[in-house]
Amino acid sequence: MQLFDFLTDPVLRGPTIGTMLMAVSASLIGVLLFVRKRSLIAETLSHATYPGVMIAAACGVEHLSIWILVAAFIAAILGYQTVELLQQRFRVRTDVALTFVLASFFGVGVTIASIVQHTHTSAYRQVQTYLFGQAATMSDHHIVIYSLLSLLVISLLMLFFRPLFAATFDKSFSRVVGLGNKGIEILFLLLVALSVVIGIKSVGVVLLSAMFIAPATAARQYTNKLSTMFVLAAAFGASSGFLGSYLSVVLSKPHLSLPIGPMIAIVASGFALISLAIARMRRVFYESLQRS
Amino acid sequence: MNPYSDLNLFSFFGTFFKRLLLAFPGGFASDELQLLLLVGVALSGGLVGTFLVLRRMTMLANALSHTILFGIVVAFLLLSRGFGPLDIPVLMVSSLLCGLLTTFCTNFLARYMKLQEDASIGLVFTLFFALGVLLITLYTRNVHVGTELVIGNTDALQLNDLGLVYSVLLGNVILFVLFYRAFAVTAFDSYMARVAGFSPLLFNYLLMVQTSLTSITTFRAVGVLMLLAFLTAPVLIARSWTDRLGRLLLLSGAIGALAAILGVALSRHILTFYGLGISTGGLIVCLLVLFYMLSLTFHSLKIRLST
Repeated sequence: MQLFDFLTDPVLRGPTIGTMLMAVSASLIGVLLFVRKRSLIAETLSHATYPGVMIAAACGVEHLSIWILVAAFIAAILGYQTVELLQQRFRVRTDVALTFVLASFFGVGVTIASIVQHTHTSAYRQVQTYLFGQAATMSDHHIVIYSLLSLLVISLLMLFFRPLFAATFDKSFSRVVGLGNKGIEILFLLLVALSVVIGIKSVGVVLLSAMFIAPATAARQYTNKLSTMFVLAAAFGASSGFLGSYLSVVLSKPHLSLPIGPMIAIVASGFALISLAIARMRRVFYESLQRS
Repeated sequence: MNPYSDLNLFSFFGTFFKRLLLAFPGGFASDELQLLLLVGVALSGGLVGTFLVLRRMTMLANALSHTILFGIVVAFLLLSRGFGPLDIPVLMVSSLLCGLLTTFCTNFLARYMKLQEDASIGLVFTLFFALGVLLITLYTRNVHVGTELVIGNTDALQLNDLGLVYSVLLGNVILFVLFYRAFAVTAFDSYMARVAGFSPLLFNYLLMVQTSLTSITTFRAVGVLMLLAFLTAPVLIARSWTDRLGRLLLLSGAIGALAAILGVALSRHILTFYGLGISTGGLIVCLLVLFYMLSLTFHSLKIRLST
């Protein structure tokens, strides 16, 4: 099978393109999180979607995969707001707030899951794949939804690049210029929640944060400019999405199907580690030049 | 025949204390096994969690709860025994390995690769977890083990697990009693700790090893992610009631244990009356969240009334 058949073959193009779009939007938002030093919020929010996914399954509605998107989106926003509330109102430190929200939302999800398991067994089986991700069942119909959502993330990001840039690096400046911090924070929250929701289908709740952290880490090693970092991260994200789905199909055998989520996470982390090593070598090289 | 079948919340405790006085005739019933095990996990979690929260290391604990899968898989492959029942030495070795490896890699990335802390934690655990899931899929041909690791399965407990949980608890208690001062100083003031001759890094590693040993005990009972609730929620609740370290330790252990006991009884109650087999681990997390909300409401009411 040729490498580029993955983009054209009617069975394979769904998972591959869907995964790549997911990876691009996750990596772009990952850059925003990275420069704010809040990368781990992605980990918390992806776990926080689990109760939403389970509630959607419990409702037993038609078009389950769309309702899951909606419910997961609401759950992610609730999770984010809980973290903010704990930090600002109750003076809980960031790491504890993140861990607590992660564990409590996930625990509530597990409780609901144990009920759904008995009441809606088939829906439960279907949504349980969201834990580790399952891109193989994505059809052209999914691609349309996911590309629309990813396009929404990308265009919002491009449209509001300046205010987001200002709010990230210089809060007082952006206040002086009259860019409402409140509005930007809401936009930020929407972007993060949206990209998390896009990701849980293909990479899964448990490993999604890799897609937010690894491409941004890799991109950061080559540039200091935010715009370049976005472009590089998107490139790293897209290629890990493609290579991940390629490897998971190629390495699978008839009685053994490799989950796509871990595959993508490994490829993306591989890119990040190689980039870190290159940056380290470059640093050592320049230091030795300076010394001589 | 399980003596707890068809009991409600109150008769559950009645039966439990009656059987406790008789020293559990006929061995532990499955509900008792669950209850004792979860109480042990909750006590360990409260103790270790207090220091993790004070030292802002809870996200490292989250990382560990993921990397532990990789540790278990590698230990099995090294011992080449196949994936049979998980025996205790294997679990111990793998969890030790994991605690050290996770801490080392995170420190390495942060210090030598100049990567910011949140990203180094995230990068390390997602990579190890992904490798773990992949290895499990390759060697057992399903991801079920992974799911069970994350969510836990209280029905699969054995008497051995109980021994493991309580020996880890004992180990934790002994370490904290022996090095109480050192732990306290490193938790509050790492500069002072260095002056006093305690290496904060050494205690970081020690704390991470304790966390990984504690999480290995939860592997079967509640799943590693649920442990995070035991590590953070009781400490957050206790923190709003006391400022003293000793009381914080005792109180968080007690709150965790209370949630564990109520959780087991409540899940039996729900099974009796509604015929629903709810996940005990999940129920306990829900209870902990409820406790925290009650505690927060109480405190905001108190502040509002006093002003």
